[in-house]
Amino acid sequence: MNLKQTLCSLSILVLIGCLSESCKRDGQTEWDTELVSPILLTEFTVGDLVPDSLIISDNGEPLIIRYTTSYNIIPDDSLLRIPDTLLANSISLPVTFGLPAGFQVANISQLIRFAYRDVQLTEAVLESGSAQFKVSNYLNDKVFIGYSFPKLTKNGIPVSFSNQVVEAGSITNPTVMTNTIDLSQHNLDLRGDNNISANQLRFLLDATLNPNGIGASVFANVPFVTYENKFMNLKPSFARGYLGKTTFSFDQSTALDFMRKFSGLIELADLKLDLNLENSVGADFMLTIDEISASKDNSQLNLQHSLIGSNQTIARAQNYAYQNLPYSPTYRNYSFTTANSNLKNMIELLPEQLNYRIRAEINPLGNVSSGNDFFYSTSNIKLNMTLEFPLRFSASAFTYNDTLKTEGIETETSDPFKKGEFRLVADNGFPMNMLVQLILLDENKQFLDTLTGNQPITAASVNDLQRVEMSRKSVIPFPITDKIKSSLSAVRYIAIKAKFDTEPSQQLLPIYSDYKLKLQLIGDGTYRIRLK
Amino acid sequence: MILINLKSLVLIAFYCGISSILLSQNSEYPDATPPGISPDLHQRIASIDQPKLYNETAGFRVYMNAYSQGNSVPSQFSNLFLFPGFIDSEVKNNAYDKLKTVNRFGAELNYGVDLVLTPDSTWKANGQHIVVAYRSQAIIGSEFGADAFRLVFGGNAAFAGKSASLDNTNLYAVNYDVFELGYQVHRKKSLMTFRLGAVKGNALTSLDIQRGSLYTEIDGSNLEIGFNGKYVNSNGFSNQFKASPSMGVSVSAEFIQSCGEKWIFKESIQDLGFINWNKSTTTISRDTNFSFSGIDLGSILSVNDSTLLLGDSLQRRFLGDEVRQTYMEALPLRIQLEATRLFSNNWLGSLSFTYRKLTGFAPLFTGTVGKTFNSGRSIRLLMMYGGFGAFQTGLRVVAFSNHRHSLSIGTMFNEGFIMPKSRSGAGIQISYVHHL
Repeated sequence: MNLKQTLCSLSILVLIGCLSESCKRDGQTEWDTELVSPILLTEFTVGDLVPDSLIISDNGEPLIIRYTTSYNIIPDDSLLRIPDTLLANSISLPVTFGLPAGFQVANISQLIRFAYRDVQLTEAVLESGSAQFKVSNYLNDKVFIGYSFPKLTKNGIPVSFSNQVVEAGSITNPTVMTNTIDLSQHNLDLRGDNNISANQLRFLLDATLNPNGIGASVFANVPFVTYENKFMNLKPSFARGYLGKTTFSFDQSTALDFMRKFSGLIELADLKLDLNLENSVGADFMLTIDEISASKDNSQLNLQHSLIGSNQTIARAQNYAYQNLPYSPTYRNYSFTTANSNLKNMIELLPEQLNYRIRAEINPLGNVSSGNDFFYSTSNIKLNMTLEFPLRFSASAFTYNDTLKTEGIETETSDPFKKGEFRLVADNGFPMNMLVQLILLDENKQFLDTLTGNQPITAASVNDLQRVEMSRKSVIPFPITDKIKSSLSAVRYIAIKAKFDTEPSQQLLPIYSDYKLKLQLIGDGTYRIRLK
Repeated sequence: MILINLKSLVLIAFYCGISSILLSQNSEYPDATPPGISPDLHQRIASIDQPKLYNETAGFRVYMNAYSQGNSVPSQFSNLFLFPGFIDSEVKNNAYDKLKTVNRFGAELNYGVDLVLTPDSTWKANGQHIVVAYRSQAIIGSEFGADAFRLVFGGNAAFAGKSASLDNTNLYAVNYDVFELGYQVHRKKSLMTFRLGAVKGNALTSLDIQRGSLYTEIDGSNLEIGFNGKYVNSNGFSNQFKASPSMGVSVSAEFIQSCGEKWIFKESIQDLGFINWNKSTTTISRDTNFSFSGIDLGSILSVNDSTLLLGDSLQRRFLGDEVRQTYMEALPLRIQLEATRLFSNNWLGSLSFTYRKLTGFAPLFTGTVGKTFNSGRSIRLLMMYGGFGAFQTGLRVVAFSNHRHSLSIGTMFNEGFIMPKSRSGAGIQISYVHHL
């Protein structure tokens, strides 16, 4: 093959190669398509704003909001729990002495006194708790221990332990024996030896040196046996006695988190707050409600009513079974209404927090029951409150604000959306004009862009009975701008701002359970398809 | 996380008959040059009266064929898949104007090299040769209605308030490489070649919609989708390397026989075989109807801290849970029969019939008139009917041909040789043969 032929061959090979490669895609085939498609479908009901548990929906009737809460005025760890009590002692001799085998080291009877405020309990049935007995033997021979609580019984049998062996120890390294008793279902007779005292329990201890040993030496004034008994976490299921004359202060606030999202002006129909005091303690109480107030931001409004600041006596519960309770509580009821208080103003404040300040004094007249006060583990002074109002209101610039967290809205880096818009199709069943804004925020909650315009969702019309019969459709377009497209990937929060104005205005309109706002997001735009 | 991948919305259209793999091309007009390394036997016969004994020890051929063809889609449109670019409204509208009730479109790109070796003098004396070949093959064939085409390239906005029919939409696109080892025997009046190939599948997309429709509510608030069909996708080139490769076998054979001094007959079969696509292949058979009004979030406030995958949701609803498994598919078999008549003064004429097991490809009938010059150059005019289009013409020129070299260049116009402006297909073929 000559040079000319070779060059010619190579040229042709290169040409074919180039043509083949040119047919492979070094660019992209692309075209624009006009797409229209539903994207999201969602709905909004009253239940989205107010927890379902607060809504009462009677068939065909306007919705009623009922908010119920209750508080125990007496703290669980005060009256209703016997304080932990410790008895500790040591045994020693004033002289150095050699104890013979079988020597009775101790024969002790001690009275345990429970320090229980000014309460004087005579009887208790324990629901839970324990007694821990610990003895340390410093003698060089074992000791036989017996101990008992004659008036601490279970099913009528006293708590008693005998012949507990504590092995030999030494002055520097005593042998310790620990015995813990579960005291649930035990009865405590705290009347003492004479049966007329209170808060007293007799403890007996007997200790004998090993009778089969060789004896043990003790040193003057050096303890050779120590012991202690600790009553812990005694919680009675029932107790009787004189419950003292203590005052309990109740100062608490309840956050209404869902109300934080609302602001603006709203006028409610009549509403009422029922306050129910329940005394299930077998002692009289004097209760004073110093304050009930509502607060929002930095403003606060106190409830004004004749009850506020006045002393109310609640008679003791009776110690006989009533329904499923072992006692018969006593009750006092109070009602706050638009007529007798400023409750309506307080709720129209759209409070974020309700505050209560209450005092309760037990046995304001002293031991009038001659030591026959009582309580059960479920006893307390209970404050039950029920706020109820029909969801019938007039709203003006009533605003709902919420912030949703997101991890970003994914968009194609190749920017396939050339132009287009989203359409929000709203089928509104509420008699309210709504202006909804979606505000895009970055990770620092800094403003990026706003997705919606200023066109409101139109209110549905009401009939003569002020009821919506047919929902109304609104279509709200908002273009997808380059700025929005560039912002989407940085979005970490979406703030929702919805402003409501009832229509017709200045009229109290009831809200029914079937009212619903359906929202559908439709995408309509030019989408560029690229072949890869 | 709110993940709004609206691109996925487009996929619904793809699954209804759109494929993004309109990249492959292929030719289906008569290849006058036998696939062996022999100097063009036709040309020899035509120019030198009798086939000569093939006495070279080795040689090779490199070639490339590319074309696109349809019975409606203009070349201006389809060429943008061969030579990537932007399909603008004018191009699309021109294509819309030419759409028929049943449209066919196909394209092919293949290129490769054949090497013929003669091991020793005994083989040489007996006219026996070993063939080693490599061929890269990319083919697409499709059959679709006018609605499917408009939906894919125009979107569903134009169908607002109407239903787009996707019935009988078929798409088949495949890309594979063939490594062949063959035996060729060259007799005084015949040339026979047999090849056994190992096939490596690179990409497969197959869509067969027996029943399909997309109704778009006039305000875009609802889509009604009906689909009964099958979709297979090998999930791209990359998966063919990640997983075990998709492999297969093929058999190709060709027989050329001259009868007397005037007639030459040729029979060939190519790519009788299959590929076993690997377990990364998605196979979905669905018979479903459903309505889509957007991803239902329930309560508007329930999106807080939630993950929202719009596209995924729509796809899942349409396709169900994706199942990947191995899938066996036959290769696009080609069978060709050809008869050539030699006339005086180096004129010739031939008739051929080509069958191809390929979506949208109708039996192709070809008539050829040619003249060979004493210099070894020749020119042929081809007239074809069938394939992906209707009437087509082609021109093929052998630029030079001697004992060492042969270069042929061909072009093809679908309805275009006579009416260039309305052509809906075009192709090019280059083949170079070199004898050592």
